[in-house]
Amino acid sequence: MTCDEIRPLIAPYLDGELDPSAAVSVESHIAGCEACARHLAELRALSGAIRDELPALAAPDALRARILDAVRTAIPAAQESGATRQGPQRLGAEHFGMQRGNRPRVRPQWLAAAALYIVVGAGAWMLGVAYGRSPDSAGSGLRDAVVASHVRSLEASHLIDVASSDRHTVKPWFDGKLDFSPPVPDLTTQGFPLVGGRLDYLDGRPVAALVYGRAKHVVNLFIWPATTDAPHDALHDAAPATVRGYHIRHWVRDGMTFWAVSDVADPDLDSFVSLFQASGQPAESVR
Amino acid sequence: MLRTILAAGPANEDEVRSDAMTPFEQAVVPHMDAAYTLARYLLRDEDEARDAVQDAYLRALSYFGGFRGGDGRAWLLAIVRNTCRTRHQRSRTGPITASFDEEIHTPEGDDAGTAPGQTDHVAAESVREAVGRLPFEFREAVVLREVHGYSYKEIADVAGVPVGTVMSRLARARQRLRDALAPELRRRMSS
Ligand SMILES: [Zn+2]
Repeated sequence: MTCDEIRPLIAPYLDGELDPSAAVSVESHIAGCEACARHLAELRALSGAIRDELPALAAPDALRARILDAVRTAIPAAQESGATRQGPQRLGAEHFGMQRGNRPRVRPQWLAAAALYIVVGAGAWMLGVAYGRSPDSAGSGLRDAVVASHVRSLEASHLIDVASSDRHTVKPWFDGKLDFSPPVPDLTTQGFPLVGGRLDYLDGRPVAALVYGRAKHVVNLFIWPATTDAPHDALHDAAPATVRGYHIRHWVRDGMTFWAVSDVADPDLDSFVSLFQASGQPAESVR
Repeated sequence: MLRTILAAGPANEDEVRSDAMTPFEQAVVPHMDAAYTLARYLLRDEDEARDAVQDAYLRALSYFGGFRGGDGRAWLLAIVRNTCRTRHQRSRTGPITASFDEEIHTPEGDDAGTAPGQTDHVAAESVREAVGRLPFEFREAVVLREVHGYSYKEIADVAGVPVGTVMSRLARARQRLRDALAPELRRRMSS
């Protein structure tokens, strides 16, 4: 195919919107066309820049409290009048105003995301820290970027660049594509079969993404060489977090930084992290 | 096999207490962060974004009777988006143009280009400014795609336009951003 035919497909390719055969056409063209490869690289850099600089934000606590209060007020009232599921009911600003001056009636459970998390038992080197929910938290941008990458990867044809349950296939696939070699342990017998790997883009650099399965779910594990970040960032990032419904674990080991993201249950993700760490495979810099 | 994997949505943060929750609390309330993020980047003003999300939730409560199940997040974000669109139009001095082709050279005031914690970061400013200068519909497509990770179909649902329109908006938005951010992108590509 010609450049003119390929060009309009490059962004949809990057967005994971092409069917596999079209994706293959784009890939084979790009392999031999510097101009189109550069176009893809530019779009990828743009995507990375936006994801880095426009992080997902958390709703301010005061807003959250006001909305929850309105929901609490409105729903029982609607249920009493039998109007919950039958057609619109009229609500006005009074549902926000009427509680003014009162302490917001926010259920304690709702604050789970704002609660303090303590990391225990996963290894002495894993930092146990408190994390308060705040959009200003150091590292939240990267955490959100990691989740965005996870979400994006779940879109059809974007999950894996190399599909293999064999670590001896996946690990060498990264050779020459990255300036390091990620650890790729086999965790099949422990219930986390390897699905494959792909290149992703995080923290302003290409990173390795390993994909492990767990029943019908996937775990994305992002790996890249750790930089000497401010310790403050590291402390904030070390707390388990849930962003947009996805659970996140972060750790640093052997000079590598790791981010695991998944929709599996929290304990499952913890055991994945423990198993991965216990596999003892070191990462190697190949630069 | 991957399709099967993909069919299992995100973990429900509220799983443990779902029995005590109303359908609205299960389907709509958990997406407040996504709603706020969208409003914040569409309106580029913290107070405006807060008011818009609050308005949107009021409307969502009012119209939840018409929600037929499915993706509560997309349903909510469509309401948030419409609320923001109305506020955006109201805040503009001139009448809104029907075609945003005409907006190409409209320099929208970039009064709220600063998001939390990034004020001293030049690259962040320029990226955010460039996104902020995009026409509303372009900005919406870019934010839903890159920040929310939405597919073309999901963006189409939120914006209420065909997928083809989403693709063309994204393509044009990206072309402008590539032009505006050329030095920043070169820096990223060479590092
Ligand atoms: Zn070409």
